[in-house]
Amino acid sequence: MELKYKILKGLDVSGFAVFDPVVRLAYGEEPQKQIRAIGKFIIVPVIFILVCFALTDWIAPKHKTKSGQVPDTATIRKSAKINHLIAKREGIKTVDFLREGADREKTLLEVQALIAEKVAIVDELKAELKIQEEAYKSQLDAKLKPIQSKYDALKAKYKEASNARKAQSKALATQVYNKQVEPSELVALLKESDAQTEAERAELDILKNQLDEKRSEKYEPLELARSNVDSEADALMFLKTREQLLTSRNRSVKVAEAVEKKQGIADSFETATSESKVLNAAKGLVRQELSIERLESQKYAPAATIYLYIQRSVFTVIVGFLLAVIIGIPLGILCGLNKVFMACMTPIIAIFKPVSPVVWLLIFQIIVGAFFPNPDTHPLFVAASNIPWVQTLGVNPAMVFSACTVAMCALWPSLVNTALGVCSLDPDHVNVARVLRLNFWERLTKIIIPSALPLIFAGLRISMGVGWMVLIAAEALSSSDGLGKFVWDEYQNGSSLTFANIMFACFVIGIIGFILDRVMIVLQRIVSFDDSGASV
Amino acid sequence: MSFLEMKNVSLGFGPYDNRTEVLKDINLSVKENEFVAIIGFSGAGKSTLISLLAGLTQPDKGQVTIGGKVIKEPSPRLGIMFQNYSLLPWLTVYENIELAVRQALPKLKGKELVEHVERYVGMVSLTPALKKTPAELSGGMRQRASLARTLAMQPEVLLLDEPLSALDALTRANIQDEIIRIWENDKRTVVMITNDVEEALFMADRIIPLTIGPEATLADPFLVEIDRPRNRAEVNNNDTYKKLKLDVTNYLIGLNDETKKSKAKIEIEMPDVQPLDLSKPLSKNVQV
Repeated sequence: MELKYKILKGLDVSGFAVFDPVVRLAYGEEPQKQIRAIGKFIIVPVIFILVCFALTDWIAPKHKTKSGQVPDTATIRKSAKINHLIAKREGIKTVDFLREGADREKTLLEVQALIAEKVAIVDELKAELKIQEEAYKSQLDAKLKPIQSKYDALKAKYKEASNARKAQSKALATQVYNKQVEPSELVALLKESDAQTEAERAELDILKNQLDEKRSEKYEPLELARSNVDSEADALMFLKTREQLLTSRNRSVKVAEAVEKKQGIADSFETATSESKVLNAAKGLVRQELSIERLESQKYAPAATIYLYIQRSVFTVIVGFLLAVIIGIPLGILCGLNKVFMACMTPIIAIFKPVSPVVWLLIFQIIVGAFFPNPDTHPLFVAASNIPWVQTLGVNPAMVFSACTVAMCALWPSLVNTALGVCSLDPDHVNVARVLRLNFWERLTKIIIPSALPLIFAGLRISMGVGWMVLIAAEALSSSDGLGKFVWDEYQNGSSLTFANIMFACFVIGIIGFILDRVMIVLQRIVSFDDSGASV
Repeated sequence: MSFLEMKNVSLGFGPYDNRTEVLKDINLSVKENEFVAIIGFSGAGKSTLISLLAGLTQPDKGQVTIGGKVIKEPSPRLGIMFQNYSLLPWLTVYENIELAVRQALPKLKGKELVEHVERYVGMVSLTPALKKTPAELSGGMRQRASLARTLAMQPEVLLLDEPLSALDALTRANIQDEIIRIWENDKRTVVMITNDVEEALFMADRIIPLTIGPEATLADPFLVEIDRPRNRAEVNNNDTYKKLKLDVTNYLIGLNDETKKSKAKIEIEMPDVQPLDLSKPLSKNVQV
């Protein structure tokens, strides 16, 4: 029973009170009431979401844009799968690069076996594709033929008619020249003839459009065969890369080669015929040793994947958020404590708060950029490359601008809410502080901050939300590897999955934003002493 | 020999050209270990009076002294118990009291401190609620916690600002008994503000009415010469008690009538204004 109430309390604190009846039902508490609650607040919303998906699937294919068709849910799922697959493959490649000894040889054999298999499959699929192409051509011809022949016939007929009209007008022109007919008659004839030609052309165009339409009609079996070949060929390509990473591009192989070369140079001392050759050999040996050292510490540099983007974005937003907190809360406390300071800060807050994140990004890019003339050797980045997880993210100046932009925009809600929290200190509590004769520091830590904490955390929650929104825009603009850049690159690159990838990123961004917000809600609920609770 | 004294104390609020004198020429002298109740209507300035005694507010004129020394700021010698509990909601009962004790008795450390806090919590029968936050307590329990906090600071003077006004009758009687019991065990000077005649009669040695504000001042005291310990059931049949209750009540009613009479004199002259009739066009005579 203890556990039940702990779970219920946990759900309440984390803002998942909607699952309350599920837990109660599991404990057999008033089943009918719980089932009714589940029906109303879980099943109905789930059905609603499913209806939304169904509507999307119905409406999306009806809208074709320049960047392709609006993706339905299946396409978005496919995009998610592909992004996951890419990430998984990069992981495998990273491991392959480092394999050595028997492990490498064993894996190499496995990969080669897989390649042989894949080649067979791809060949088969290519043959199938050829068949489908033939089939497509023949069915297309069958469809085109009647229209084509009609078109050809009509075209020939109109050509003849047009020639006849030309001859007629020529004849009339001769008559006009001989003053047998008024020129106006010729003009009228030409006008009529032009109109006729125009009408005929329009008629031909209709048929031509029909032909084009038929040609651009998708032939499902062919599309399927093509995408099968594409995906299998892609897999084959991946396996071939693996093979390379296990052989010529493998670290241990490269190291072994270098060691062998070094040995060769060392041996050449004995056969050296002159002083200068000895010197050259010694120089070569030094170089070779250095390159072996470098090779030994080398790692595979995987291509950026969606998971790296997610990690970088979350890391950047947290850094930016912490910067905002470190600046915003002390300033907010000062504002709340001192009316003069508040009066000084008010114009600054009022003017800078509404400035667009894009402007801040550009400003930071210029200002912060000046601090990193040589990012590779800058102590900040050197330090970042030595912290466990952080080093895998690749901290770079673009990330710093983005974090600064996040901080600048997330600063205000924290600052303003903290100031408000400190200002609205209960006069009774002030009296308590006076009666207890607390000094300034004790007042601050024992009365002012605890009493302002609920509002401070409400501000932090808003800051986090603002920060996450700003970050995505900042990344798109600053090209800091992250979800924002992912979206921007997709928009720029334009592949068949562009639109689906953007929609997929939309869901990823939303879900991460939701999780961040929930974390903030939990923190807020933990520190609030009044049972006010947080709105969802 | 008076211990706590107010001499010709006046206090007003508002800007200098429109100042409202809340208290005027207050003279009060409380003997050591005496229990004085100040009784008055709400809005008379009772809480202002206790703020003056606690040193939270400084008078415009006159002075407040304790043992001959002028009170310039709050001090641990003056323990005030606020009307609305004023417990810190983010701390537990224990932590609330501990914070106060640390400030008032900095010499207590470690185990002594814990024992000291627990003793006072036990004194107000709150031991089971030691680790609870104020939000989890009932009104009466909060009031007791507030009392324990004030007592634990071991002040020389106990200033109680309507300590029981927010409680129901039963809890009220209960805490009255508790305050009396604690006071009898550990005598000290008490000034209690109240608006309840029976409460004042039951608890105090002396009752001083506060006249109705603005310009409220202290009236002549009523001495409560009833032997202690006073029994709640018996006291109702005590002749002195009955007579005093009648006297104090009549005095207070008289005060109220006086004010009403004095207020009745004020007549506000209404301006002679007729409302506009907006249904008709106004611009009959207007030349366009």
